[in-house]
Amino acid sequence: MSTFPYQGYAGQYLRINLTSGTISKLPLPLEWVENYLGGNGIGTRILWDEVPPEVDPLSPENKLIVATGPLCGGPMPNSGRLEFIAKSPLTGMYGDANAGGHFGPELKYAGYDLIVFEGKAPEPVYLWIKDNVVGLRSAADLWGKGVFETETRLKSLAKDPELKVAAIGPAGENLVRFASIQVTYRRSAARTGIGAVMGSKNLKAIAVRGTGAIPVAEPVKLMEHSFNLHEVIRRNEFYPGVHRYGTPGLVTLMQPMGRFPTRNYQFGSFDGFEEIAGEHLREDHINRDVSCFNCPVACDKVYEVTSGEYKGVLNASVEYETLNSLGARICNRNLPALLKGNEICDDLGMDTISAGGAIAFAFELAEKGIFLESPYEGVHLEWGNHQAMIELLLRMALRQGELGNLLAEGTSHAARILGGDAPKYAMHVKGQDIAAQDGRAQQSMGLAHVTSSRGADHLKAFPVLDETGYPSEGVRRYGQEYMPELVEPLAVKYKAMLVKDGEDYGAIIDSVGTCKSGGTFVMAAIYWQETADAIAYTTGMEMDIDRLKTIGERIYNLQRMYNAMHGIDRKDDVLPWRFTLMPSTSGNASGSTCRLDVTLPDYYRLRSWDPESGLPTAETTDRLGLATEHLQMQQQVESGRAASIRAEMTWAAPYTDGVPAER
Amino acid sequence: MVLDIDPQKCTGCLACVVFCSLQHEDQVSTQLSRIQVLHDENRTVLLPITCIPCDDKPCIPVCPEGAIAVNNLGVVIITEGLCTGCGRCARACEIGAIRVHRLPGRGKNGRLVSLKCDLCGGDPWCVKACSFDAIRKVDEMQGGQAIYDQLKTARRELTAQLEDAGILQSRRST
Repeated sequence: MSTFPYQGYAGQYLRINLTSGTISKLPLPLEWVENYLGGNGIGTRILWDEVPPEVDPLSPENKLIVATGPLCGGPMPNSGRLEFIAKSPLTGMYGDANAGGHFGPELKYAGYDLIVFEGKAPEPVYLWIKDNVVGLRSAADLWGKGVFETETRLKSLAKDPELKVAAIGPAGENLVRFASIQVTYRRSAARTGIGAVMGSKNLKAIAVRGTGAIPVAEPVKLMEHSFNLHEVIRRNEFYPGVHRYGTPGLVTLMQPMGRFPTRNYQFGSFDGFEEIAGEHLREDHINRDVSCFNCPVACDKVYEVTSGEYKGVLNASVEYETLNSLGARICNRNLPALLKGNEICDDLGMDTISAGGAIAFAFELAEKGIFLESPYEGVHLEWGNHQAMIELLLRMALRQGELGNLLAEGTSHAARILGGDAPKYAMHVKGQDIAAQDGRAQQSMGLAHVTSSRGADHLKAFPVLDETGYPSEGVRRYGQEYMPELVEPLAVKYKAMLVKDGEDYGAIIDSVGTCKSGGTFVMAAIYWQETADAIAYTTGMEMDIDRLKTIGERIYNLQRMYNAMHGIDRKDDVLPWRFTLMPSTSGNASGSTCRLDVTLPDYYRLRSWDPESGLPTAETTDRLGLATEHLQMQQQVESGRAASIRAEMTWAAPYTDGVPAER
Repeated sequence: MVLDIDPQKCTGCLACVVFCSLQHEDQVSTQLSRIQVLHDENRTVLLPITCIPCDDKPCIPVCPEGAIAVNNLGVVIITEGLCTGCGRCARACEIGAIRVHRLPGRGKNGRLVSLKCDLCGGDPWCVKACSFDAIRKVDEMQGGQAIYDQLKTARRELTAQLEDAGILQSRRST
């Protein structure tokens, strides 16, 4: 038995050296647990300690960390989240991706809190885990196969329908810079190109079956606490809608706000929105509701296409993000085609957000007559052309042809390769495509996109209180004195506070192994106190709000400092011109621009970061126990090494110099 | 008292499994739960399985130790101290609501024990934990047989489907 002092953890982790084939089972260091909890936090710590700034993300020296947290697999609502951390091939800096499903709990029941992959296997392999039996096996027969077939084959070998799999598809193998890792059942850890890291290591899949048990410190209190939160979520006024439609329900809500990115962010509303809205999706395509592990929301669904050109498509977890990226962003209003596109991304292993971003970029370049004329290599690059979307997804995943190969580099890299005016139409921050929000229509989201530690992203800060306005939740979390501006999407006041708090709290949620969608941010029943109590009852660790907030802030600062080691600083905290210089013409956002000039200085001030460099100050890092790390960062910056790494980044910086002349 | 299970409403979240395991074993384990949820690969089929109980109760007469009996709530209870884990009850139950576990220190022989639902003494955690009304408590002594028969058929069909897909070892004679 493990002598690990805290319950709720398996107490050991795996270190797999793929180069040598060495498998080590190691005790989980207490320093990691007490200062970083698990998941995102521990992954960040390992990355800082073990992957220095000069490492190429696609080289064997990069590491892939697959991590659960102390609440993962337990009774708290939505406790099935799994975190993947590595240096990102899309951004060249800190990267992570997170997935739901049922893999995380299975890994813990097998007896491991996390896995660190290092090196590169000489031949394709997969990792097999059945409780204490851990081995690397040849994936020669699986290489080149889609995710669905890979998973079925592994279950077939095991003769076990309960096997859980995390796998890459051909996109990961082909080092597509926005490749995903797909997780049982059909969930995606997709952002920052984490799947390409797995591919670069010749690691096709991880298959895990765990039949063990996770003890908890105070079972009775934990059950009572968790069950109460399940009930609070069920009673939430937004529960019926979130349960019925999942994130696709957002389409109808975002449209009138002018926050539904259309035509590569040229507009914030899409005239075909009803055809790809959640209501329509459910009416025409629902098979049944399904849940990630221990989730009372069941925002996941099985969808199918039962007639027409795309008959036979069977999909799970179709998200708002994808309805936008493969829908409005490219002006596609054909829902069955969109579902087909989603299926291709899930099977070949790609991030739908960045894949759609790359297609929108190509369509706009063709529209503006820059480099790409239509048809290009036989593909008609036209807004709304769903056949072109399907064709480009396949070509990107397989790196087919000049165009497929170019777009497989991701929007920001393709813009750099093309040069000239191309970067003006690359809608990204720090190399990663912007997700389905618009900072002109929701000021907090614009700020969140630039301050996210993994490049443009909505989920780090996940400011939702001012999305459609949750005054009741806003008052409960922050107090009456911040009303009404806090929950008004176009107001700039208090948005830095909302973003900072979201980032710190989000780092905790991604570290304990629960979900940001059900109960922590959306239907906000679970906050600092509820999470601190859950950690205490599960692990036996002394935990209060102050300690938890410090851990969250520590994790987020360390990610910022890791990026600073790569020369990322205030100059990179920018949005493309379209958001800051072109007033929106859509819905409620009409006339609005994203006011980073106001919110970003506010944010640095709240973070106690230096307003000139945008980097954590010594005073801040001392308070967080990161003094040594701060010294390392300073040396890296002052010696010029950080700047030279930044100069070698292979993406084109977002264009901010003005509004491009009409072409 | 019986449990009414509606597999159509199940989302496969396993909240029932987690709370059952914690209630009975003070730890979380999908194996030690007295309820399990079977499914096909894409989860278009989900099938919660636990003791309803049925009318016939074939598990009772097959127990050589007399360890299984119906209590005053109408719940089929295995007295753990009498159970040798021989597995006859598990084989007699046609929906698979009883499973034999290798647990050191448990059961009559300190090694093997059959575990099944005890309805948590009348206030089952699986029912409370289910957000989707897929499992409900019905306060009548009779009526379990119809649900049992439905689950039996559904389980047989699902097993055949998984065997055909090659992801479950076929038990059919070839």
